[in-house]
Amino acid sequence: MDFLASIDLMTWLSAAGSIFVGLFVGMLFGALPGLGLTIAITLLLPLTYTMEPLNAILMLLAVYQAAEYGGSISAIALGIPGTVMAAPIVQDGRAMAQESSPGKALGFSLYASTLGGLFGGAVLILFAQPLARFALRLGDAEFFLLGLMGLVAVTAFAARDPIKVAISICFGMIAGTIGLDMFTGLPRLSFDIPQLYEGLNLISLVVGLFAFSEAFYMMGGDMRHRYEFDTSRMKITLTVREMLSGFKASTIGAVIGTVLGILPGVGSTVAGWLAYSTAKSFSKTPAKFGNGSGEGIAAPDSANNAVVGGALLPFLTLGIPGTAGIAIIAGAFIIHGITPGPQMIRDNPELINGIFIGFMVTTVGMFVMGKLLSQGFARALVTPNFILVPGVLILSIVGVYTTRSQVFDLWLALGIGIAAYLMRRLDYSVAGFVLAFVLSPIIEISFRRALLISGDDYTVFVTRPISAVLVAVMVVMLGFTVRKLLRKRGAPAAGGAANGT
Amino acid sequence: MSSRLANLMMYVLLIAIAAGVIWQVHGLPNPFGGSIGSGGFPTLMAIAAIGLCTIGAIRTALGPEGPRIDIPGLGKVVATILAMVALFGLWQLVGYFFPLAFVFLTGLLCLYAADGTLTPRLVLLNSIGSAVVILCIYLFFTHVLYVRF
Repeated sequence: MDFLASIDLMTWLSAAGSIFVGLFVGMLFGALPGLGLTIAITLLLPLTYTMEPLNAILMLLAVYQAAEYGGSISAIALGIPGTVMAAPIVQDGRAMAQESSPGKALGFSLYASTLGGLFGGAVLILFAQPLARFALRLGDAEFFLLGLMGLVAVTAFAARDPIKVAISICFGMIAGTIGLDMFTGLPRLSFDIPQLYEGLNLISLVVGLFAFSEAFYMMGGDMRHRYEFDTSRMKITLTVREMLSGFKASTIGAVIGTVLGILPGVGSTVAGWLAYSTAKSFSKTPAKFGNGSGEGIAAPDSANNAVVGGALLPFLTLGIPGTAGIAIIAGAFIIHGITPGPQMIRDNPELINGIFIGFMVTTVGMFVMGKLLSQGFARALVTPNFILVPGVLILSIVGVYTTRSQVFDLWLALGIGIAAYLMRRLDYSVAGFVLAFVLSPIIEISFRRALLISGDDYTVFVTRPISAVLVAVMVVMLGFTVRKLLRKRGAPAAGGAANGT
Repeated sequence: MSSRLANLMMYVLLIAIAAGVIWQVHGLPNPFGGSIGSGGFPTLMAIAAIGLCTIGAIRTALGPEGPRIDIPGLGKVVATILAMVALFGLWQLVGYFFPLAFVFLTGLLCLYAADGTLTPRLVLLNSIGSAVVILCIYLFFTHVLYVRF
């Protein structure tokens, strides 16, 4: 309560304004097929340079929350998921929209998203302090293994070829080492280019990886194509009885989403599908799943939003981002010189309390905005790509330049964008690359410091109980990956037009 | 091009890049001693990448030909990249970002709109739309965020 008293009205207003902008942009970009969460965060990230750290972080978290719900708008209205995470919603959402009303389907989606977001937020608030206190007892060896475990999880749970995901991760780690070595101050892989001494500009990297490469991808389709759908009956209306009918599925989704969000590398895609199948197996009417079931909409939507709070837990307390979205949000922390982790929780209570309160406000704000503006966002779906793509490109260009006022960063972003486009065409993982890039300094520093302190004794990584458990978990995940590889042996490495990140 | 050939070419390219990384960092001094110096970590990652690429290449070479890889909209992608190169180059050499950005944006809108029928009315609308967007960018970034373009 002392914290609440210490914050003045202007702080609250500016935070509320940042949340509003984040929610609006997130919901809009989440709704527009092809754009989605990562591009929304990427485009807003450069603006955070001029903002207060708390406002910057809240704005990006609002984007994350709102985009998770926004993806469902196009899934329900058009049958095309606005984000990958909204894919499990398509079948039931579309069926309910056609048989009953799109507004009802959007209602199930919004109520469940809100419940999931609040549940994930509550878990974050309850467990952040205890986990941070625990994390303070961890040594460099454990931090190294935690970071590594996140990347192994990305490989193990990825839907694509694990070898290509692992290669993407290796190159992400290498990219993360560009610049001055933090131990010795020696430049590495910077080719005597002064702009590279501080490492690759994060904004150039994410704009290239996500915005430019996605824009190039969108050029593959009919740019003049305009979606057509019935915009009537889009008003969100749900009776109390209908609301309660989706409560059990929403709760299942919230628990699954939060738990999977906490596990680095798993993310919303897995959580949504797992929540869908679990809710189906616990449902009294499983046969209705796939044919317009409210539970079929509620479970994955709740899981998607619960992932956000869950994913923030390891990020804020351990400094380990578990999803690509969180990895980009980590950029806002880096820009403001804040290192997420147990020390931040201990030394910066104002910021952390602000994030907690703001996160809950964001979720409630998402509900209000969704209730009032979902119909409007649905109308935006008719915007053809020939308008969206140049818009994304020009905003990306301006955003990258804004960060350091150097055209070099634009060349860098363009080069990365072309490379990412080609890599995505061949099914490499852009999300794995960016996660590895963000985790690279944490992993390298903990690895080298652990070895220095132990006098080059590599057993330091397995002798402490926590280290041993982490190594065991990684071995299991690697075993799972090898099994997956062997199963796929019959159909290896077919590069294709997989439009995933 | 078949996906097998494209994948093999990419593996070879990535192995070459990883080898370049090892070559770049191999001579870095190690003032603190120990087995991992400044170049140690990138070297480890590059070795891992080479190993994984080799496994991937062997799997691909032993596997089926795979589907043909097409790049839909290749012309538009190349034209957009060239337009971006022109924008960045001219901006760096000559300056005047906002007029250049207006031409860039109008050009792209017309290029992409040409998927259908590009009427003079659409060209005019694209120009007006671009002008409005560039004006908004100018007002917000130069007068609110104080960015000098």
